[in-house]
Amino acid sequence: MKKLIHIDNYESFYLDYLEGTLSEAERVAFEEFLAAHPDLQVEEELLFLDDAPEKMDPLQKFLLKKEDLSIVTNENLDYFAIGKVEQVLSAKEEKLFDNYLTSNPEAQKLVAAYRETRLEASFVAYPNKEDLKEKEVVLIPWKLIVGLASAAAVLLLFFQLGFNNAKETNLPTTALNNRTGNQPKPDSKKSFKVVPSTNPIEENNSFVAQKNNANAAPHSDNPRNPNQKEKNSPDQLIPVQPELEKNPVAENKPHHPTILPQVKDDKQPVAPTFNEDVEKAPSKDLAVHTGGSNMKNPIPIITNTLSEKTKTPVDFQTGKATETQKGGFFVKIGKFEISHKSSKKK
Amino acid sequence: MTRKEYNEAVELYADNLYRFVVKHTQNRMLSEDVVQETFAKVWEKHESIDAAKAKSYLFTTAYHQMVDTLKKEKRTTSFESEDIKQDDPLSHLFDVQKTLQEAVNKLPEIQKTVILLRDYEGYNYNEIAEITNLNESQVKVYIFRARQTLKNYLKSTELVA
Repeated sequence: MKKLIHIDNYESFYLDYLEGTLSEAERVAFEEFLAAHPDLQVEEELLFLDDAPEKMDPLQKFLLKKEDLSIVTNENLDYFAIGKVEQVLSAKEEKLFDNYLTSNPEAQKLVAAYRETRLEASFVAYPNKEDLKEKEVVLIPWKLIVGLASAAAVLLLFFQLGFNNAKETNLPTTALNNRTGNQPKPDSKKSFKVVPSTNPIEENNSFVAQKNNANAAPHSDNPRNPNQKEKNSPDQLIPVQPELEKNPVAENKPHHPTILPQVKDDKQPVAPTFNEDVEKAPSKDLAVHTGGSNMKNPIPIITNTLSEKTKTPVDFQTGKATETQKGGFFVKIGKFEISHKSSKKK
Repeated sequence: MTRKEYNEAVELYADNLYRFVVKHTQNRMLSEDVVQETFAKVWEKHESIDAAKAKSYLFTTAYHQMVDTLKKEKRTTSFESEDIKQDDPLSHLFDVQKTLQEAVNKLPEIQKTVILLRDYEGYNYNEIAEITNLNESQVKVYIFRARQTLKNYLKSTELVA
């Protein structure tokens, strides 16, 4: 038998030994085996579960109950004390416990002890609160940006020109009247009408150079001498167009067609001018400030570029004020139109 | 919840949320991450969130985010709460509150959560139940147990009678 119990099968003998089911010979043999192998012995208290009854915490037991307690005892005192601190007792329980407290100072101390378990809220600041916020993002359509920028550019250009027009040379009233003497006076009540010039822009530009020369010349050479006016034939009253070859810039620069829906002929549409005012053009206009005869009128280039970029018709027309007619400007970008009338020249 | 209401919620609740998490985890960096992640999640769903329930939604999200983060941290690293006593705003408080804070840190996670929500944020049992996915009875049990534990801890330090 002794030989039958070995290190590989002793567990089954061990269990039977603990259960007391081994025969006498087996029991003796197993005890001899354990004596020979003391390291295999197991503490008996580990082998048997403690069957002593566990008492549930009375507090937990009372918490499980679904009915109001009708009496305060030492067992449920914690339940009432915590319930009072937590303010979760029913009205009936509250009244019952308050009565109990009046006659039990120890219970009052218990309630005070539970009150001490309430955490006081301290202020703790989150360090990066601003980073958590969602910033307003306004998405502006690029077309709107382009449109606004274009309008701003055109308006800026107009105000520059308008400013210079306001400072134009004051011609004698009589001379002006003589120049236009045989021509029918336009009705001053009629609205200002802009007449697009059919001349290439370079011709108008060449006028700038001529005008500058005229400004540089002494006053005695002024062709608008009233005495000379009487000798002029009506044909001579038509403003003299500057010669094309006087403007080398105009010869070299290509035309930039502007989309002008109202231009019906096949001539190059250009920024309009009053042909009759050509001779009395301001002496202190943009040309004077920007370098004289080589200046190129940028309006067609700008309007052309804008119309290409926005793929909408772009138009810009200006007219200078005279004694009889109002001046003004007209800007059109697609359906967007701005017009302005200035007062008559005095 | 509009963008404006969301930003107001940040202004109103970010500090409270941060306090709730930092008291729980005892780790400022981790808490900042949790708060940041919480608000990011809320912003993702801000259009479907009622502004009136923003606070509850934030705390619910923060609680779950914190639990997930703590699980992850404990799994990947030997997570240890940092010692924040040096610059802890509680350091000026009376001994009872300091000891109480120590006691709270020893509570089981769920008891700590319900006590922090109850005392710091003043939530009722029903609201705490919603945030923690418990039922009201469970919340009551955890709070009562926690109070008992805290009282016994304070008594052991002879800070209360």
